Amino acid sequence: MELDKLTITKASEGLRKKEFSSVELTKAYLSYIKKTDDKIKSFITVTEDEAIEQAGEADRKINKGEANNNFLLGIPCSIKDIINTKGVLTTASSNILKNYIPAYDATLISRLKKEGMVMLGKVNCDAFAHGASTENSDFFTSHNPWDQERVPGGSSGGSASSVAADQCIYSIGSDTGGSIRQPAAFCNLVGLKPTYGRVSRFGLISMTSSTDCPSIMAKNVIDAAIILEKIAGVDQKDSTTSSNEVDNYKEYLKDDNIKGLKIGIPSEYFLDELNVNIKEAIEEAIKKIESLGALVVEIRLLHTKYAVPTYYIITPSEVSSNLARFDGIRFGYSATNDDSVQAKNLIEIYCKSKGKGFGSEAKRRIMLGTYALSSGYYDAYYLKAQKVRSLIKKDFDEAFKKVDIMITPTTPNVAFKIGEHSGNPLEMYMEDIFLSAVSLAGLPAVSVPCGFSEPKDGKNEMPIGMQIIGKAFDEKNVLKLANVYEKNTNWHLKKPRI
Amino acid sequence: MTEKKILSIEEVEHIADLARIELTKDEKEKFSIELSAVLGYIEQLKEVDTKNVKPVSQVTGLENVFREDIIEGCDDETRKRIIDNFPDRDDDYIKVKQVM
Repeated sequence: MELDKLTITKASEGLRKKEFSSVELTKAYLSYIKKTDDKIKSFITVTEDEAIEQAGEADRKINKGEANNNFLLGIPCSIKDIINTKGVLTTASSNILKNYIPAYDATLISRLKKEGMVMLGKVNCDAFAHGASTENSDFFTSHNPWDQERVPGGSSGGSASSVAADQCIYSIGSDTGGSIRQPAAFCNLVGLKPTYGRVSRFGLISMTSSTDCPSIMAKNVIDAAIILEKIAGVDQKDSTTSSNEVDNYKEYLKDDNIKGLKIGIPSEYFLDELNVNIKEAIEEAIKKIESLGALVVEIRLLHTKYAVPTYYIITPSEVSSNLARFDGIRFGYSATNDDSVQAKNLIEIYCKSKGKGFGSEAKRRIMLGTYALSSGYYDAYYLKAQKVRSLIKKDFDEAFKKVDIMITPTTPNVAFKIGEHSGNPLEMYMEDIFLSAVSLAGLPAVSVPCGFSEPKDGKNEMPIGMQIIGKAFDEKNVLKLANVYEKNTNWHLKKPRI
Repeated sequence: MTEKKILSIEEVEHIADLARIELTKDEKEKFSIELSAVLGYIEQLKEVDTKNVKPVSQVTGLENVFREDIIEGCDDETRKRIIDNFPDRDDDYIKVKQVM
């Protein structure tokens, strides 16, 4: 079994043709995790027994001829540790939830279980998804399989490192301001953030409720399409999910004609901050797509430069509200049963549980958000940010009257070194420069591999990602363009040497 | 030029109090510097003209999503898992410290 060559489609075919069983496949991945994870550090929890049990169940279905069109049946994956899994430790990579065992599954987990998924374990992220490198995890930093001195990106860094290192076939993470697209770009993967409300957030530990999106990390575009089809759709438990019909994405990808497709290139995304090698790679990719029949049009998104400051008001504001629930009363770390802490009344339990339980970045965001929402500052910060957000969204609405889809770089630079930005929160926030506007507007976007660049301070070539942005709920055309580009290039087939 | 916003230690203490979060002396000093830097960066939003612009309320245009308010039971296993997460309990009840 060549684990590095397996995609969902190939593994699923192998299972049906009885080339291997799901138990064999699962055991192969589990032993590869054991062999490699000392170096890569993707996993917080490996659920070996549950995985083998799920694989056995999948094999029984396959043997009875019940596999049908169920491409996820028996396929091993990893799940970001911010997604609730019933009976399985779910930490959000935070000390405050270090021992938290959820009583229920996230909706997307129930849906994947129905499809017969095999969960190998829970993977690392920045604590509560606050970050762009996994360096904010309260436990450890994950490593980029392409250069282990570098970050895999974040916050879904463990999702990226586990898929890129072939420790699993796909991963589910989340994207609030770039957390699936940026690590996908850093690790040569396909990272799909659906439209806000396309996939239920029920059971995803909340960070920024108005931009949180459960998202997909895959080895190729068709795999991402297969997964999205299964997890998307309305959910009574999340009133922000859309009742729009879910498209048959996999089927739609059979059409590879992009003749006449109008592609917008926003000039605001090609500024000085953009590394020259990345600029060239994106320009090359655009030429390729043009040669396949698409029309390329320059467009303007005038409020682009305000996206990051807007995001860093809205996000901490929502974070300060969402993290208020970790007060030491109902679950999670509590000063109540910590002998080293003296608390004499309820207020002190709140203050000390949070003070001791939360890491630096969570505290920073709680503080910033509390300030932005506090009396006297609300209008100047939060309300102002929500107004600028309207303008950012309007930019996209106007541009999408002229074009069908947009292309931009995913990140201004390739993966940075561990420790390079960790002392400076603002530098880390700038990682989202090409990503947060899309999140604020709630649009679907995918990052796909489009080249490599050798950084000046590095010894290895590092991957480059291209972001494809679509209209709301138009995931099918985002995936289609990504698929056509992928079919005509080989970047996604390159593998790191571990 | 926009003026630079500086958060004093007292302001940091006030916000921490509102957020019900205990900070160490070092943290207060660190946040005073770091939050001032972030607020300084955010100040650039002031230059955007937002006169007559409505704030975003929901990006995909949903309004007033309702459902029936029906109590759904939960199985014993789920109930037990929820209770097992209580940091402090008396039987199946959450125990909290005195309020005042």
